[in-house]
Amino acid sequence: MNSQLLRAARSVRALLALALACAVTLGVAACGDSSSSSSGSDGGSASTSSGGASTTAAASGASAEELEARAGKVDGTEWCGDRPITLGIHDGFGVNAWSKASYATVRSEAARCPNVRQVVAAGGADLQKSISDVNGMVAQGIDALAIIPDFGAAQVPSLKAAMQAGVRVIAWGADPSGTRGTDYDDYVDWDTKANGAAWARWMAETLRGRGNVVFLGGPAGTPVSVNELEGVVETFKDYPDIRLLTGDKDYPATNWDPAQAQRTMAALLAKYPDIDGAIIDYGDSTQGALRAFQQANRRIVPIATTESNAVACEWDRLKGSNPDFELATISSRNWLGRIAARKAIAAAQGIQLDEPSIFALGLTEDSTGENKPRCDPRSPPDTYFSNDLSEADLAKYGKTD
Amino acid sequence: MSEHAVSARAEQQPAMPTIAPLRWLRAFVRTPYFAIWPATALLFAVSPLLASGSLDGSALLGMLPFAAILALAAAGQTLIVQQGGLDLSVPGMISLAAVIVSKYPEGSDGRLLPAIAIAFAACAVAALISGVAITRFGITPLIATLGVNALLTGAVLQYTSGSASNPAPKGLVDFASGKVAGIPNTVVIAAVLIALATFVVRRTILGRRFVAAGASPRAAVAAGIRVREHQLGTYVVAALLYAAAGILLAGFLQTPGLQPGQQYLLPSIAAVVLGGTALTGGSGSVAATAVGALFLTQLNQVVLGMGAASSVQLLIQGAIIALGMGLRNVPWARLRRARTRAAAPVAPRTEP
Repeated sequence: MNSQLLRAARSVRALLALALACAVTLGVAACGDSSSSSSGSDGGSASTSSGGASTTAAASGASAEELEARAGKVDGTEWCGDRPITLGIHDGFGVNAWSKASYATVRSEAARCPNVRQVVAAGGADLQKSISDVNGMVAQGIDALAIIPDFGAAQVPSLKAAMQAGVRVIAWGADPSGTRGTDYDDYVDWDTKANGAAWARWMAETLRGRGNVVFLGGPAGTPVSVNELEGVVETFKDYPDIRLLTGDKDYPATNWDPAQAQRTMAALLAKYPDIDGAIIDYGDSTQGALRAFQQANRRIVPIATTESNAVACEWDRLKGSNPDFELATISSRNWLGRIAARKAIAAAQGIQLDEPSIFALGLTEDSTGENKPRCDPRSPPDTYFSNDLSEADLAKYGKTD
Repeated sequence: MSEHAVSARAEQQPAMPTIAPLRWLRAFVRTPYFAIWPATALLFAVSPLLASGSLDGSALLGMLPFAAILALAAAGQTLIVQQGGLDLSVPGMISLAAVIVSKYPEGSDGRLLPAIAIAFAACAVAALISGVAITRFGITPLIATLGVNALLTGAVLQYTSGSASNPAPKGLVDFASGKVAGIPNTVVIAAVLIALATFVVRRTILGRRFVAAGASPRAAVAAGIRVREHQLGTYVVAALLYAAAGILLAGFLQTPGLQPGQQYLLPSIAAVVLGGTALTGGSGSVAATAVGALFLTQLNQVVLGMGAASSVQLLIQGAIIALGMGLRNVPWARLRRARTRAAAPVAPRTEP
């Protein structure tokens, strides 16, 4: 082989190597993004709320606290109106168990209105498809849209176009960013900062105001975890003897993936010999973290996270051998879909519905209090009991057709 | 080994006769598969300085199973790369195998063995699809495996109906988190399979033909080697390695979720390149790839343990991988020769 050719081949190889290294780095970040929409744990930032939690509901007469206690259910159906309308229902991901529960709450609530026809689609974790789904629904003549905009700002133009075509748009379960009133009518979700505050308060009280705590977030930089951390940090200011080992500004990332959470927790356990409590912002991540504790032969500490049947069952199983293991969870919030459905339908009917939009949720399970974590070995591991969904409703409405 | 051993021997003919192991070592140092060993040793040596506790027993026991599983996936990828391909169906294969062994048994250990058999069979069938598309219809490996990956992802969602948490049966969990003489079972399995693959590639006629088919398909055809059959077989063997990785991953994670394989595509390729196997095909080293997998996993763990901001972690990781691969591409031999030439300008040498 002549030397020039050889040199050329070498520089091509060097370039390839460099490109691959970049791809690996970017790939990690990109994986994080995709799992953010698939985990279904993406929520809204507190900054978009407009004090919705304090307003009362004129139509249902229920406050945020009452709605939370009743999983968003109300008695009357006056919000249905009487004009026959078509409701579009969309979820940007739409294939995992969290999405199923979300479809089931929206669709079972809308099914209470005999005058409402449903058009349902799933984005399949595909932005392009999500956009064309919404455009297609508008072309089919929907009057209202209840949508989980998993892709946030990227979906706003399609939502805005729907608004301009006269469709009433209610986003829920994922922050669309954009502006309320022009890009969409309303945005229904939990208050992520309040999540952090609720976890931190419980943790501080469970540790009696003294101890070392770690916070594990989702993908790096996701607004959900950033806001939650802010709530944690603010609350811990009232407890000077609580130390947040993972820092006030940033958090170790789990990508909301159990395997990554297991590695992250393993690294934290190796680094810090004294961890007294862990705040982990997603139930599936908690499952991974629990395995890291067991692998490292460390006693399991109090953990604050989001609910799932699987996590509750782990608590049941491990509590005996880990007396310090306490568990507090926040609802998976699929029940907010009932409120989104009502808001969308009422808006299309021109009915004033004063239900809150942003919910500062409390703990749905607390092993130190009365609502012990609920484990049902016969239900699927990713059952969320706070949604108060019957198995029949989940089977009938937890899908797109 | 063959070509390198031959060329090394040719170069050493005028040199003094040395004892065999030493000669083998010298030859090995000259191969592209050597660099990853000192690099990995160096990484482990500086680990405790970067992140205290990262060499503790518990930290290593947490890291090694992940390294073993990545090593299995990357071993499959190495074989494909040796045939001049690049396999993008790694995530789908691992996910499908993991989901089958956690969902099919429905918690009963009695159904675990059939589940494992089904997982291997499913991955083998998927590999036949991409293998036939590549060898019979001339579709580029990248495209064929990308398509098969999409099929596999669809199959996973269809099979689980989107439920992300099917717990693996207890027998598999106990096995995957168990140890033999203090060594995690996952590491033992990976070591055995990689040793087997190395033996077949290096020491058997089948292995020689496999390397020849990858190095130059046309020359291999001229030499009477059935290249297409070798390529097809490679895809199936690689798929079985991915399936093994998926099964162990399911057991180790206990609840693998829907897409546990998603994390393995780029690392599996990076491990191949770090190990020194050329992406152009031909000869390669499964063992060096396995060391590359260990390097990547430990690097990930150390960077996590440093507690740096996530953005900084990714930057450090990317920089070290780029450095590792870049150093490999510095023409050390030519630099050395240039120095020799400067000292003794008469030495006539031909390009290798």
